Amino acid sequence: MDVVRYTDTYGYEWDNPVKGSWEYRDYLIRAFNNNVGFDQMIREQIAGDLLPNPRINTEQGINESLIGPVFYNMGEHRHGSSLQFNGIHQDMVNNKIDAFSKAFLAMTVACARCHDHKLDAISQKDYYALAGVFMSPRWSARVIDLPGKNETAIEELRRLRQEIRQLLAEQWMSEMNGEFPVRLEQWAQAKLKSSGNVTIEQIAFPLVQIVSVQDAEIQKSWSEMSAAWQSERTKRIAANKRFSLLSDFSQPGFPKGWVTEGAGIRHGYTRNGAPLVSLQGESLIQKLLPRGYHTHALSSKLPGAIRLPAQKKIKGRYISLKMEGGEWAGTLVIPQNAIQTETIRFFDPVQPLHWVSFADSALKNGVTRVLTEIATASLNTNFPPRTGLARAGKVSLPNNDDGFDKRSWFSVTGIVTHETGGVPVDTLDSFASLYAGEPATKPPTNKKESWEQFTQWFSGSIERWASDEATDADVKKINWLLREKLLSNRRDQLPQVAALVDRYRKVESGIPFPRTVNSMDERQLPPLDYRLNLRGNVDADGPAIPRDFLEVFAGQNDVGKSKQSGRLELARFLSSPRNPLTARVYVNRIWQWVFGTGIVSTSNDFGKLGDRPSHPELLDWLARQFMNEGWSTKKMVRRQVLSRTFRQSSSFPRIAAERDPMNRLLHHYPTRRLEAEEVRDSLLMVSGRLNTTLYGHPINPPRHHEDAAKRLFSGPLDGDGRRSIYLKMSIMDPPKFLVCFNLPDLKLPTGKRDVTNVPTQSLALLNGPLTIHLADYWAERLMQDDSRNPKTRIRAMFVQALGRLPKEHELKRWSDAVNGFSTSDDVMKDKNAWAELAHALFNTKEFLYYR
Amino acid sequence: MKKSGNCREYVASMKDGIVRRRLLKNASFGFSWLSLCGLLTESASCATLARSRSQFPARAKNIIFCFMDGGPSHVDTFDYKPMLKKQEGKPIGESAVSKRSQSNANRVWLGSPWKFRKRGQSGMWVSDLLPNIAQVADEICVVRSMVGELPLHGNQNLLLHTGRILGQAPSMGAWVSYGLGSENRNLPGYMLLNNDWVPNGGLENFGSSFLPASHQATMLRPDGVPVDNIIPSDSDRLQRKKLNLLAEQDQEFSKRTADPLAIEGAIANYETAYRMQSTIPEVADIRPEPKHIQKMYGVDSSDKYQQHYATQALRARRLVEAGVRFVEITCPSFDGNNSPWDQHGQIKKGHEKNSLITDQSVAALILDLKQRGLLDETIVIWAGEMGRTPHTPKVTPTCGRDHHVNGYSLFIAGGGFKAGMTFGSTDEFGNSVVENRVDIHDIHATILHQMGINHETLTYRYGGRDNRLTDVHGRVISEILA
Repeated sequence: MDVVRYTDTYGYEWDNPVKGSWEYRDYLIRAFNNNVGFDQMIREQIAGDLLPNPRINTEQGINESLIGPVFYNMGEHRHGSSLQFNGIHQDMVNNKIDAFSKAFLAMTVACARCHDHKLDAISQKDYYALAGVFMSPRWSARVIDLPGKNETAIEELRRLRQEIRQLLAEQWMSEMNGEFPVRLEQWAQAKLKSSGNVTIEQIAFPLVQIVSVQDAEIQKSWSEMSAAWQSERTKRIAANKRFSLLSDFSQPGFPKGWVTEGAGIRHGYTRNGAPLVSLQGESLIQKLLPRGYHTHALSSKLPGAIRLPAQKKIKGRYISLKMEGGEWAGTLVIPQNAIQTETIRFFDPVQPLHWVSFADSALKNGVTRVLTEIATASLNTNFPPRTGLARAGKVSLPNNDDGFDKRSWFSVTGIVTHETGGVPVDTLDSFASLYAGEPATKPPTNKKESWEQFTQWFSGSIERWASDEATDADVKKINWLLREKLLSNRRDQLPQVAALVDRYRKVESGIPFPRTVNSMDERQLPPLDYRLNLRGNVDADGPAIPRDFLEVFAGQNDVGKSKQSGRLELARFLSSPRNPLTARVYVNRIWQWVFGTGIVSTSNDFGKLGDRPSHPELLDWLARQFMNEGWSTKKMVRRQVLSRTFRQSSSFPRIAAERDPMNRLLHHYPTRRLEAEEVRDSLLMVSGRLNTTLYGHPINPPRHHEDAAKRLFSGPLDGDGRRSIYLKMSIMDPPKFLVCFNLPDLKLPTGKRDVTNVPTQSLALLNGPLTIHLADYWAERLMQDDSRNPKTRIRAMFVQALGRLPKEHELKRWSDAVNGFSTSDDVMKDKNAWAELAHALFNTKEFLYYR
Repeated sequence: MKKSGNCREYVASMKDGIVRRRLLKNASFGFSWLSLCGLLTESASCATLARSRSQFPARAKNIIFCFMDGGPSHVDTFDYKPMLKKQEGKPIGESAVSKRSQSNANRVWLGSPWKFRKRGQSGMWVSDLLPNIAQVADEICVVRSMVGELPLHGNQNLLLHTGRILGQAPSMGAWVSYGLGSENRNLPGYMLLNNDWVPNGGLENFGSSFLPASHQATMLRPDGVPVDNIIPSDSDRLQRKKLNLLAEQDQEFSKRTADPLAIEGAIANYETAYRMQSTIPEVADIRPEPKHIQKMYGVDSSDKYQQHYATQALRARRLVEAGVRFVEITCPSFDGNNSPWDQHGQIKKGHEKNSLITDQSVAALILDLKQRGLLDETIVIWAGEMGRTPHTPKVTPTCGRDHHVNGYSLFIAGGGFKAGMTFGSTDEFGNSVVENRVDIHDIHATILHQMGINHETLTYRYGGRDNRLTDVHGRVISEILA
């Protein structure tokens, strides 16, 4: 994971969480445990979103391959975009190229950003050709759940929704009886007393106009109202002429070039009038949905995202969408894949359907593509965003909320494009059937008639809705009735419907929250070539370089011929036996893990500046074996640890030291210090505190000082006993205990860790709270063992901590010690004395080093 | 890589294995013998390396870096621009817009809320925002023509510390420690006096990156446990018992391994760690300082933040006296802001608070070093990562200034820098440099020069090239050297 610079955050100034970082960590753990071929893992990490036959995990119901490209999302990502400050996307792509080339090629391509590589055959052109490959896709969030995962539940919800709708329709039709005009009038009278301005667009408008008019004046007033409506409507229709309709969703689907993601969209299309069932509280339904897409039409747990074609690819300077949303659904505008964009907006749930406009950005600073997305929280690449940016109306997301498991939803009901600013206005369609439609064309002559006419106006809507012929206006009217409690919609009013709603709620609660990761998505997106920066200067654009792989591999791969980004072709070439470099690089890493130093000691640099291999033929042979054995990591490790070289002892004749002082020929097995995670994990295991739970959200390390603005929070001292791999790797402030033992810089792909030997390590083990806590924990457990004397117990402790039995004189030394530590008559029951002894054992060099 | 090679050769030449083993066999208190031996090896190799890296006599021995995190406004401290007051509220226009500044043509000039006065013999302009530093104007050398790369905290912090806007390189403190070692084997070469505050850019600002980890900053907190794990968990008697037990056990283990060097190094570290337990708290303890000295720094302040900063400033002096090469003090964050001096709004209130916290202590530090005769050999740097815009979106009582790296100020005192000097200048608005442009690499080069190091030859091979603090840049600014 050093090699892919694993991090849980994006670092820089705000240390935002990386969406799905931990899913990627778990993906790697599963892949190694299940011995997935390394060729497959390469294909997945480079192009997992493009594989024609992705690897499916049926047990968890996820697409494993789609997690691979989280690889690109590791490393530092600055906030903002190059439109504000030039250099942001250029630096991000540099980090990708650096990680990719070191991890899979053991080459340093990143320095070719500024100049041709001085010694290796890598040109500046190569760098920018590769940059195009990585920049072409959207760096975007993907759902890893399989599409059919919740199919049964969703079908059930759909069926229940239909039943609820039928019962409600019958009920509401029956409520449109003789009583209704009276209720309407009463409502209007009450409304009159309450303050508040009612505007012409509002359903209540004619009602409050009429309620205060006397019988004699009714006809005149009505006619005036009708005329006012007519003229206003004409004006508004004219004003809307400048908007070209892109979609009103009279048919399901999005315009060409638009991409969607997630079950929220897949199951989100509704015709006018689908009821939105209340998931809690006394009401049966929240409202009727107008025609369009609603990610929450069945459940607000379902994720959804709409990804627009790049700006300027849609006709018109502006595009506007009629939308609403809540619970951290939002919109984001992403220039040149700068995913930590500041141009992120969250829907204020208080605001009903309204038009949101996006204007084409003026491209500058090397930005050639700006992408717009609408997404629920789980599919928002930049959620949670930097602290302070997550505001929706009056609500702010607490800084300690990492954005896991959120309900989140949005609706889209119309799309228009236009050349000048502004948004379409309401053309007052709801009143057409009141003033202009049959049978309500004649103005009423008295009050009674007027309320009957209003009743007809409403009952017409309910009838149309009941026969599934509702218009947008009908939905609006019925929703108004619901809001004003003029229709039954409470559990106690309709127990039969309530039973269905209960069932609905139960099924809905069984749907799991979606699993999403920041991955890649290049569906429907034309690839782009990247402009060369002269001398690496981001302000000096040179020519666009066609996408391709490094020139040294020219003719051997199809990256340059790809109609897409070229990632799939790149992945295929790297994982093919035609290219033995990949296998050599990886086999060398395994060798390094097993023996401490690779056959090529610079495992991230096989280039001219790297070290020469100590045993070149061996490396080649191993690489061939590796490929022949299905790129199996386990088989390769097995092959190496079963070798005589591995099994030799760490003692050696003097002459060997003279001939091979650096042990490059491996005349003995080198003594090695445990790596940072191994130190911590060993402490946990030996003390019995190890919690073997696999997978899950990252756990904060303990901190002296929290910084909420940067989400640097403190976690339990022993991390709940979880293995170090599950600690939160925060770029700004990584776990201190691990850093002390040479955890590498999280931003950089690291091939080989330093092993420094510094007094702070001694202090951490000697005085640090973790060792003391775990020694205590161990002693607690020792109190319950059935040892009858110190020596039996010490024997057990040695086996646990050092993997061997103590020699006789050691037994004496350690039992003398425990007696010396003890202040009690019965040393076996003196927990403190044993804690001291355990603490001492943790501090032995034999615990820290293996040979 | 190189260093360990040297060590190996050195030890091999001593026929180390045999010597050690005999020593262990014969000495009943093997532990202390062994650690002594380890220390001899360590200091010998360090000295060799240090000698090889310093090319000419050093003018200074230590550095104290007062990092004004967040970017204090240059036009409110050292860069006096009366024109701002005259043109206050007027749009700055297209010609004043720069990518090194959060700017657009519609922003308006903003005069300084503080009065500027000529100070001391030198007549240096310093505003009333820094009343105490103003008193030591004749000791400091102000550079008013600093130019950075991007008006962003993270980048500028990393540039200031590591010489690269993306970081991924050692901090200057780590370079100095690597180049010169520590004069005190019980204290690290680079110490950071802060309050667990992580500035923008992360702890990488204080890291050793590709240099050996021993050169990364060791942090010292203003209150509570000063350094992680430094307070012994056991009584001295108990700890000694444990250490003796470990010594016996570990020596046997060392004999059984093929590579005793690393094991013996680790054994020696326990002895060093043991001594650090007393050295670090001792040097961090300011109670032995006379009351008037404590008061001079502001340790008696009723403001918690000022009290912390004063404590750290006083400790900084004690640490350089004890031989720490590079001491850095960060500002405390007092209002949950992204960084302490980052006043996008409320500049008057916020800058005054920052001044209250730091001004008296920094001035006291300079005076105190001087009265002890240490200022000549100690470089005191006062610098933020950026300045602040001479303009603002709209002049209001609560307005602020934004990010600006197109001309800003810092000062350096002691260490052979010209006292009472003002170098470089910006235009009449303080908006861009017009004379003697200086960048961070030049400052790095000049500081290293004063420490006796040529910035072009202090290198470390990593990633296939010889890396420098100054990358491929840097000029020693001889004009500001005495």
